[in-house]
Amino acid sequence: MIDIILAALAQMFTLEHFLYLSIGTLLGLMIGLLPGLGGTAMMALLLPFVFGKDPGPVLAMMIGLLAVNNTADTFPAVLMGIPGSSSSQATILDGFPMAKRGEAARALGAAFSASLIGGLFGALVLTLAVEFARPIILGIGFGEMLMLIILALTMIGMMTGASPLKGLATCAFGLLLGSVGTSRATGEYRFDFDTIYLSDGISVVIVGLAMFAIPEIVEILRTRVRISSSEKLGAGTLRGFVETLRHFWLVLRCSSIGTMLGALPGMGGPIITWIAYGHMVQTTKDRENLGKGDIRGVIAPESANNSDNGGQLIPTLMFGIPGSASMALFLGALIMMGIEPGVGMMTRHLDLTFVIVWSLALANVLGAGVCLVLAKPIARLTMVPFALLAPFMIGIIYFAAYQVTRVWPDLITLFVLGVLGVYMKRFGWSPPALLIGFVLSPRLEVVLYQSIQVYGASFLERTGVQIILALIVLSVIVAVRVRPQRRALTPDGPHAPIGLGPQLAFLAVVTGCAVYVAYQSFGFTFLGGVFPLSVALVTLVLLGMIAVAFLRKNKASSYIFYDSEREFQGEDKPLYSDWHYQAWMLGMIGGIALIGFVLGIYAFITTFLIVKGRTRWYKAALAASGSIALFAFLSYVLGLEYPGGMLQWLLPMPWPFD
Amino acid sequence: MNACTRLGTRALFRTVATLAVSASAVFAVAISAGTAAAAAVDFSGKQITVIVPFSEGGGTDGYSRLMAPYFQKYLPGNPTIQVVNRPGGGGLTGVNFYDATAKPDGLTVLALSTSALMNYALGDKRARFDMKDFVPIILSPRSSVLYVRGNLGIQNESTLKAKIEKLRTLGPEKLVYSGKTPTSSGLTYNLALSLLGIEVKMVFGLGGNGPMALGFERGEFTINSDNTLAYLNQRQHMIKSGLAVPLFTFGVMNEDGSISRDPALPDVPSFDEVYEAYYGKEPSGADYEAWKALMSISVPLSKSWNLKAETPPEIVTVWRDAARKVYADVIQSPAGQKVFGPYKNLFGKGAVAIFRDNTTFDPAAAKWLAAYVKDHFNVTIAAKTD
Repeated sequence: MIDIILAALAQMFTLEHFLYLSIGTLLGLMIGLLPGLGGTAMMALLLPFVFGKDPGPVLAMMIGLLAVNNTADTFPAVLMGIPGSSSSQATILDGFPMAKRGEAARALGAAFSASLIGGLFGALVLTLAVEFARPIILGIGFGEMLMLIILALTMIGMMTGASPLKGLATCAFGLLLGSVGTSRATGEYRFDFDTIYLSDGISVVIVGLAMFAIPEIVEILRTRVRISSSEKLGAGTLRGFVETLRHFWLVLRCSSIGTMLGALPGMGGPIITWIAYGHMVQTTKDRENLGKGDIRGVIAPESANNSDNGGQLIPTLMFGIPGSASMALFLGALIMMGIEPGVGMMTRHLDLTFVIVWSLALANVLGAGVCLVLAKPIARLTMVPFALLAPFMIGIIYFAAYQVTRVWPDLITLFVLGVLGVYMKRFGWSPPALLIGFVLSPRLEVVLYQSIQVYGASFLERTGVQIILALIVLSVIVAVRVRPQRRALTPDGPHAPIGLGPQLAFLAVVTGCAVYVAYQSFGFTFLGGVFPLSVALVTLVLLGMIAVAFLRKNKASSYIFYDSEREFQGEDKPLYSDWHYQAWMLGMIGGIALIGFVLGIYAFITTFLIVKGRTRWYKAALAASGSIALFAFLSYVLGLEYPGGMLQWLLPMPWPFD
Repeated sequence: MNACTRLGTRALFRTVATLAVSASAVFAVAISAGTAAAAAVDFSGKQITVIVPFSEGGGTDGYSRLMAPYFQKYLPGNPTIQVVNRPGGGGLTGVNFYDATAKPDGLTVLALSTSALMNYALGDKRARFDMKDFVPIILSPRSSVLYVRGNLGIQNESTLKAKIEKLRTLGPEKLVYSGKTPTSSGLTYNLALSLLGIEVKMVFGLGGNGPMALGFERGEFTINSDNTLAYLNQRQHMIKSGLAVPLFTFGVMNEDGSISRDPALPDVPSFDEVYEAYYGKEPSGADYEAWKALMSISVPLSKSWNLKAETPPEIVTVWRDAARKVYADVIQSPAGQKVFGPYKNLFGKGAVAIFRDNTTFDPAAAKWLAAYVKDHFNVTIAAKTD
């Protein structure tokens, strides 16, 4: 076998192979940089050109495209708090606070080197998988899957924020949010308000943007001049690299998590990175800085989200079963080139399998290398006055949201959930907890149902299930024993029982939603309604406990209360309320409704730069035209369409304004 | 402008410049390598959009992306063709969008597949269009095959009748079958098994054919089904190892409405043959008619490209002529054979007739089917009868 491995490596360094791999990798990086766009669209464009081609270079190019998406998406996550893809949400938790401290380059350095090692680890596992993976994958049935989901759910015990009760309630609310849409088991439409849009459920991309990007932008606009609080870019890329090496053991553990879970179809990137982050929190002793810019919080998810490619390729190649859209395209390309997935990949096509392995490894090296070089120059963005940056970021976030299904409701959903995100952050309801509940919800529901259907209670007798059950118990014990890191209570700090009106109003709104879900669930068939109903009842119990705590403790400060507005006293108080910048976004949506997406964003950026950035009108107009160029370019290359407004409805407009 | 802003502007400029330079370099290389832009040759300046109401990487997406460059070649004037995915609502979101926005000028094409049509025909409330709004320009049938695990031992039974007898005695304890939802395309198989008196345990909520096949391979499911081409392309390892034993196919529907064997799996009997072997008579009755109605959505309408019905006839003719040439060319390539298989594609008026007839049910069959679905899965449907 060694000779085949080496022959494949030699093949990689022929000019043709290397060229194709490099093009794939660089395209993958560029596409990965932009939130909302993944390698999938690019892969789909390549598909027609693979027919009749020599498989080697084509496979190298496709692997290059998909291998580095989760490398480049770290830029927006760390620098701006925008999840570049749903697999980089967890990176924001510690990466963005580092950028705010002026340590963006260090965070990026650590992230890219972790990505690099993770990616190489994935390639290594894929090599070994040729011999060993089949029995392992076949050993993980619905019972084990269910236990893994529950194990992932226990991770939220570590991410509840100052008040564990509120954290649990937020997670339960996330589970409810995840049950919106067609019931997977019965096909009934749940909580869709008779819209087609909600019948597909809410996209994790939009929830991620609403929970992280929008609240951060609003807060920074209100309270800071630029993202970084320090005038200079602190310690650089190299330091981050060294720190990753220092945490090598953590990198390996998280890479294993990424590869193993990646090999299970249906797990998906967001679940995997959250599990890696949770694992890191559980196994860390000194937790003071976690969530406030700890380098380990960057290393853990970044090792996992690159290693999962190696994992995802295992079922794709060996069982002909793709775990994601890009893997489905990859599989389609294989079949169209006459390569039959399955056992043949380990015998007849072994040479190609190793071309894939080496491509994966090389693409990761190449991708991480380019990103490491670019890290410092791009990190300068955190030094730019935020008022100049924010309108572009808002435009890109809404562009990302629109890529989900490319209909108007994408924009509205982002705005509505963005409001939820802003107030969750203000009142101390943990966004990560909501997101974990949300991404796990559909999997939990169907796997629960499938395990019981296939095994009855007997699934508990399976060895794999028992092993994971032991891990769950361990995880719960750790979670219960850990005291969350929180600052001391003061009589008039953010935890003080003063001005409780807004907090109570928020609690009432959340409770109202849960009551609505519970009420509606009675109308469904048993299988369609039992999951949302049970979760809604649990949520209501938790919310009830919070309400009781509110009423009983309203004399003294308590962690159950939180209002970040009380962080600012006297002179520090921001000029504008938290509604001010959301109103700007609403204005932008109104503008899009009037004159269409491309012109609407243009008008928004120009106005914002003039009013908030104090830019001269012609400079603002010129800068904003950059956004038009970008949208036009993407529309041309990827065939994207943008939402139209009244104007487009009344008059035919030339491309790209149509 | 104060110092701070100037510094910031410079930093912004430098970042943008770095990005712009690297971006243009990459695209220059990409274009010279002739990969992404090779197809962008345009003689008449028209741009044609193909709406695929499913995500990238699905069967209909692959079918459309395979054909697009060929149409570019054979349509007069060689317009550019762009495939746009509009997934959602079981395919209905994209079809609704097409129905509401596309003009009858032959510049926008709709790709359709069984799963969207099945949702439509079973009366999904999200469908806001009528199949009469569309006219097919190429109709590509695909049959489908049901297979069971080798360890059930039905391959040891000598006659078809004995195989069915054996499956009937195994019952839902041993026979576990999976599906997306009760009314997804697997319904045709559920009904077929019911007609043979084979009781199975159904597990729903599977995300797609991949997870179903994996569950089958793990042994958690003992029955599985795939469209025949996917079965031949992606399940070879199960076939060779004897893990998957084919039981029957849907067969293919001839122009006179009769059903014959699936040409892609000529050794496997069709459902009709199995029915006849077991009951000793030709299949008939409202229950069989309901099955046949579902089959006629599944097989003859498996994949298609369509235009708006009001499109001027001369434009439709140009498209059909191009489609014939595309098919004749594409089927020469190995990739084309994988995607089209040995099935007889339809282009002309015959395609339109099949398309109209097959998406509606005979009233008696519709009534029977609604009762069956309610009875078995407690789900209410309103199958289309006109």
